[in-house]
Amino acid sequence: MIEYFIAIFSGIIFGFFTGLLPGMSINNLLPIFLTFTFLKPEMLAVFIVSVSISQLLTNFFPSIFLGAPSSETAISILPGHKLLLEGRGYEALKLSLIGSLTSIIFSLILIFILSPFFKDFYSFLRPFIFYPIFFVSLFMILSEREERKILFSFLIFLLSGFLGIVTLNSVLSSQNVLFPMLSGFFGLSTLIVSLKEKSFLPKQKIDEKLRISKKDFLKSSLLGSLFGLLVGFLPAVGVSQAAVMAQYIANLGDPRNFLVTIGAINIANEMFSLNSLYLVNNPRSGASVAIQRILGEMNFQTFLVLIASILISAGITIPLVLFVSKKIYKFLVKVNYTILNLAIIFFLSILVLLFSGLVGILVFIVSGSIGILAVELKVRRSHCMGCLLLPSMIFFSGLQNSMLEILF
Amino acid sequence: MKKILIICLLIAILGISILYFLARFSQAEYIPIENLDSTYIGKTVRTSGRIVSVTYSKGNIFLTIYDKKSIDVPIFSNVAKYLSYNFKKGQKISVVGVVDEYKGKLQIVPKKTSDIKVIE
Repeated sequence: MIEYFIAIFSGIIFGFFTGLLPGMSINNLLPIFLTFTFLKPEMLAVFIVSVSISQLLTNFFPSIFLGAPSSETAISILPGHKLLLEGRGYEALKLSLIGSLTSIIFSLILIFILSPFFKDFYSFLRPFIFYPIFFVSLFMILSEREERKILFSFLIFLLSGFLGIVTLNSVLSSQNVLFPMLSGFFGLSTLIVSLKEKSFLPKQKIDEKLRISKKDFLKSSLLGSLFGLLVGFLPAVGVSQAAVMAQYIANLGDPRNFLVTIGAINIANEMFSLNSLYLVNNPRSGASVAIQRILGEMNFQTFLVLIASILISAGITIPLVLFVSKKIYKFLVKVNYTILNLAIIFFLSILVLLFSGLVGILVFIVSGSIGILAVELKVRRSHCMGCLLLPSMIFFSGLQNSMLEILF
Repeated sequence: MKKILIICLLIAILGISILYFLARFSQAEYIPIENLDSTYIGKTVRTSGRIVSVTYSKGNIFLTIYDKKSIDVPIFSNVAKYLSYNFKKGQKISVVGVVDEYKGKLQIVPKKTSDIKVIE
């Protein structure tokens, strides 16, 4: 028993420190973990689950406070930065984290209710998935209302979409391009606009108050859990696409609701991936692929141990991240914001170069430019999600083959 | 129009064009089946081998190809419906696709018809 706790605690510590690094995803670390053959298979699986949960939760801090995300949390920069500029960065972080925590409970209930239908769910859902993606994209563009802005947002959507098709559906996809692309759209553009406008990190109000009604909070978290389920089921739908779909389908205009939903989607996705591995032996996330390789078939007892590891990891990581964020924030306000932004841009570029090479740097610059273009044209940057929505739409419309044959 | 707007638009269009030409004219690296392992997961590669098993199911075609080692090649219906080949055991094929893992086994998934070619 005690050895499981050691595995969980070491996983939390490892996940916490790697989660502070932007761009670091559990997928980068898995090849290393798989060499830990000195650990019992169940222990290694528990360690990996704890790292993935702790890393995911910790990563909301660099995303919201520094604009330096990983692929999973990139979309949280937009609502996070908005609250940060209002002096409510700590609340933004807390909303994402508590949203994640609540989604564990919702996900468990959903797993219990939906498990018997799990196998048929995918084949039932698949033919229809094109429509919500299409209508969400259309609604996202039309919601700009003014004719001029609709035209500009369509341009941003198309540019981003074409960038997504070229990088994700060709030989370039080998270069791990999702991290530079999303960091460029949401991270780099935020940092450069801040530099240009000579903005500063406003004094933050560090109080425990969450300015969201209980009803809105629960609704956003439940919605995130449901969309996390969708990501767990469907290929070509990732956490960020699901977040945008949830935002527009449920009209989550308020940044607070959106942050809760993003937190919930991320954790729910991990929970459903494990469930999918247990029920149909089909892993849907990087961590579950590694667990499958370590354990082979998973039995019910191990499934329960892993779910318990998620609960313990989240239960410890969340207060840890909140506590440490208060300390780091005190240091951040003392640093010159321009120098801090320049340092983050430099650091992100180094990480992009390391993980994705020169192609990654080019993708980072291009997506950063499109992000700034959106800001300058005064349309929402979420149109940049065209980079994932357009390729998904093409995939689910059945036109992928013809489209790729014409392009490449 | 603001200077920054024009600069960003130019960078975006020029950058996407460069990436498109890179994607259009570079070839996936050739890796023999025996050298493919989990470190290639997520990467697009080219490989070749002889068909040792063919299964047709619900519009999908599931091939297993062999060259000192075997690997699965699932051709999903969105690609399979456009293929004119009639696959038979013993045929040698070349395939470009993303390396993936399904139920603990490596597989290579082609995304378009021209990714699959019957060589012999």
